[in-house]
Amino acid sequence: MATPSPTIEAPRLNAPSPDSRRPDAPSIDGQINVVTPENVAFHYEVAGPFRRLPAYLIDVAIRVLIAVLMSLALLAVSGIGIFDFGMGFLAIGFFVLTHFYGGLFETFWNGQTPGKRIIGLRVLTVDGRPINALQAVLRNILRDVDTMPYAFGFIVPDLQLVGLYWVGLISMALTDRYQRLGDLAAGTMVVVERRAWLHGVVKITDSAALALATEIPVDFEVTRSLGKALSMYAERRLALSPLRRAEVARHLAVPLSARLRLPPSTNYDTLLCALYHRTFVATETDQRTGEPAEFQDLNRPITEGPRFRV
Amino acid sequence: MFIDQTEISIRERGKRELFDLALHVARRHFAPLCTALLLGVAPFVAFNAWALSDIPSDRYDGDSRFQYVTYMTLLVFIQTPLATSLMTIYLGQVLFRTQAMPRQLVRELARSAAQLLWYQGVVRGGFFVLLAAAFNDWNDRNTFAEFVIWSVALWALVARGVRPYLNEVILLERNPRRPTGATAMTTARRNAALHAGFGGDSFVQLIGAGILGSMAALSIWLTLCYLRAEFFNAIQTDRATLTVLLPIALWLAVWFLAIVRFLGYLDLRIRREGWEVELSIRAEAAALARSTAY
Repeated sequence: MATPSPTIEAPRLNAPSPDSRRPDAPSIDGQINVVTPENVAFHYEVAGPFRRLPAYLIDVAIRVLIAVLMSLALLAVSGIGIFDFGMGFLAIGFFVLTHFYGGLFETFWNGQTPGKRIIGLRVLTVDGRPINALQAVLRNILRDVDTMPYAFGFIVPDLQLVGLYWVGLISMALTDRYQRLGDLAAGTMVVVERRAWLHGVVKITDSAALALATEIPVDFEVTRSLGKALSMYAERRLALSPLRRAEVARHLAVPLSARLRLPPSTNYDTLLCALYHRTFVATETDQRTGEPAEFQDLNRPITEGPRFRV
Repeated sequence: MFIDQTEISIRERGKRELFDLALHVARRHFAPLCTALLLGVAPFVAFNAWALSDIPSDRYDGDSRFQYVTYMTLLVFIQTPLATSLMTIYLGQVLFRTQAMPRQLVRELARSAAQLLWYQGVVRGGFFVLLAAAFNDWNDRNTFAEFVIWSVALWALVARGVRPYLNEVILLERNPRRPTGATAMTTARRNAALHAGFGGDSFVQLIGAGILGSMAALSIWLTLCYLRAEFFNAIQTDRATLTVLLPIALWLAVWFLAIVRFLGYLDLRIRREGWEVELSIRAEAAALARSTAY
């Protein structure tokens, strides 16, 4: 079946009414940029409550397991006459477990608890540095405030000790970095550990595209944003149906064909592939000499090299 | 206007990230989204209060409370697509940072109303549930009307599990209901194409969203009870905890899940159709046209 056009329709380009209330407001996203005092910029993906939830549940499960083991140990020693000592030890153990589990782990594991490590989260300061012990303990101690209010026992008797977490949830909704009160007090945020993405040049094998690449004038300059758009298209095109590829490529291929004085019958997908190949793969020397193309490092800044106009 | 500069950043996201993102969307558009929900749910709130009014008034025991909670939840579940239509249209409008004027939203809703009522009311059975609830004798258990309500709820669960974004297709894509040619795109074909091969995933996601939504509704309900006890010294459970606070909690959970559903629709479009690629390509085409003009 033909894939139809996406019709949450982007407004026509001459549409006159951009939102006048916040024309410059940044797009809503869970990603932030942090510039350190040394003027080094980092890009972070901050984790909100729903991405933190599995880590929290894992940590709760571990705490429950430790509490059960401590209780079993107390039962084991109660037979040898040190029950009172054991009870005192157990009370201290529960206190430490309840209030310092997160703080201790985050101090010694560089901002991670077992749950956060499994899920791939880490606590950092808001300027992107590792947290210290005070921050780790403070943000975990204040979890009790974030957990409020507590469920009312008169409605569901067994729920009287369950926190509803509205203070923390509202605080996270109101802050760009999804900070609960503990995070705000300690100056911390929770980020998603950066995954290692492997970017590489997409190899274009279509002979028509390779042939067309040699016909694109050498003096045609690809801007940075056009390069990014071509790169995005080349990476995603194989996941799209042929009809959808043509539909997406048509928007750019039609004006490009006119600019490059190519015949109107030029295949849209082929043209974008050809321009991508010429931009990212084939060197100018290759085009002139017809030598086999060399692969270049796409990880270098796109502004480098002679072919981009920034 | 730059069409690649959208209100919500266009990129692929995980499901839990969509829930997080919904918090920020809700914050930035809090008042309009609340207004859209209020306008959308007002008739259903009135209908539900009237239709279920017999349950707690005759007897107020554990059984009738359970019955009231069950059928109120089922009615809200069935009515959600229709009740959140204005929210969906609003979010579709502001995505490209166009002004979303109330009159325009209502006009957009009116344009799609016939299809919306057909698909959500007839095909997915919403009207039959309203009729059954309106004429049911709640003091007589196991009636045919209750059978209808449960059957339609089950059908709606499956339909919305397999094809969850029908509302978005109707309201935002505006394909005709009847085909104008053999290959012409219609709402049904568009809906099938968008969800093809996605049914299994989406059903699991619906169950997950249902669990989260139930937890959210329960949490909101308990919080409202807490606030009522704090401010009005009403520490007893009474009819108001069911007839007033429960619907508020359910509709607030629906409000948040409607935002998540819209973001899920965007994400599906991005994954399926390379939507972020298209926006980027179209923005470059526009830039090329501008540079040619100069």
